Amino acid sequence: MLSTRETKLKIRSINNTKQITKAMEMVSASKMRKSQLVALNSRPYCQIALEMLGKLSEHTDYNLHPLLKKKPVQEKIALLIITSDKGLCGGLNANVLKQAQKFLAGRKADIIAVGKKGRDFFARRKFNIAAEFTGIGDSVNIKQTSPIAELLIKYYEEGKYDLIVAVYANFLSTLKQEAVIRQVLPISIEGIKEILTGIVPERGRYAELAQDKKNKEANLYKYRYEYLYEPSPESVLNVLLPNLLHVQVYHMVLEANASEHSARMVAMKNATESAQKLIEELTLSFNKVRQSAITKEISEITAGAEALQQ
Amino acid sequence: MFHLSIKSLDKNIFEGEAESLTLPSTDGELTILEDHIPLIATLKEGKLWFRAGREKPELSIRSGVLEVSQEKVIVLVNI
Repeated sequence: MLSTRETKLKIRSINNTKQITKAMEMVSASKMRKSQLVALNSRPYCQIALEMLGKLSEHTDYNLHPLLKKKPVQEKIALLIITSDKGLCGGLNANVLKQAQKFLAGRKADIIAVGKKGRDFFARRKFNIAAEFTGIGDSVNIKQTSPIAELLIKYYEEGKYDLIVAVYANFLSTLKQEAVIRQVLPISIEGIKEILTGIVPERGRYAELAQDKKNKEANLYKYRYEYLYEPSPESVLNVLLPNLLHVQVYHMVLEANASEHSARMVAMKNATESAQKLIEELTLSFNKVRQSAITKEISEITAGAEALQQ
Repeated sequence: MFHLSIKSLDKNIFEGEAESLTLPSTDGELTILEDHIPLIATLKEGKLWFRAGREKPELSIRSGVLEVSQEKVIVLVNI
C-alpha cells in the first residue's frame, strides 16, 4: 500500500489530468458544433448548382463532360484519405485507415493524404504518397480545401489517375461516426447529393434541417422556363462542375473534422469519468491508511497510559 | 424590384430585394433589371454591384454563374 503522502500526490496529479480532459471535452463539443454549422452554410450553393445541372441536362448531355465521364479502364487509382492531424480521439483514425486498407486490398494505388495520421500510416507501409495536406486545423475554410480539389482535377485531367476515391469519417451523430468510401472523380452527381444530406445528423440538433432538405429535393427537377444560355450550356458546365467538386471536398473535410471533434469529445468524457473513478478509489485507500494510522496511534497512547498507571 | 440571392461556395453573401444588378459576364458587362428574360450566363473576373434600397454594395469576383428566372435572380460566385 502507498503511504499517505504518495497517495495524496497521486490524487492531485490525477485531478490535474481530469481537469485537462474535462476542458478538452468542452472545447471539442463547441468545435464540433461549429464544423456542423459551417457545413450547413455551404449547402445552398450546392443545391442551386445541382438544380442548374438539372436544367442544363435538357440542353446538353452532361455525362460527356470530361470530369463526369467514366474512363474505360480504371487502372491508375488514387486514394484521398482524410484523417486528423492529432490523436486522442479514440478509434476514429484507426477505423478510417482500416476501411482504406480494405479498399486497397490487392490493388495498387497512390495516396493523397489529408491529415498527419493517414500520411504517417501509409508512409510507414511504403505507399507512394502523391500529395499531402496537413495542418488544416480546427476551423476548416474553403480556401484551405480548394487546393486539394484543384490538385485532384489537375491529376484527373492530366490522366495521372483514372479513378479517385476518398475515405473519411462520416459524421452520423455525436456518438457515431462511420468510415466511408466515396468516389470523387469522375464526379458522381449521386455522390454529391448524398454528401449534401450527409452532414445533417439523423436526430438531435439541426436534424429538422434534414427534413427541410427532403422537401426541397422533391422540387429539384421541375423547371418551367426556356433559358437563354450565354455563351453556351457547356461553358456553364465548365464553371459548375469544378465548383461542385470543390464543395464536395470541402464537405468531406468538414465531416471528417466534425467526426474528429465528436470522437475526441467522447474519448475525453470517458477519460474524465475514469479519472473520477480513480480519484474515488485512491481517496478511499488514502482514508483507510490515515484511519489505520490514527487507530494505531490511539492504541499506542492508551497502551502507554495504561503502562504508566500500573 | 426583384429577389436577389448571391452565394459563394461556403456562405450566403446576400439575400433580399434589389433594384438592379450589374455584373461582368463572359460576353461583357450585364445589367439585370426587373422582368429580365430567363438567362443562365457565366461570369468572368471583375466587379459585381447591385442596388438595394440606398445601399450599393460592391463585390470582386473571380468567376461565377448567373441564373435569372421569373421569381428570382441567383448568382453563384467564386471570390
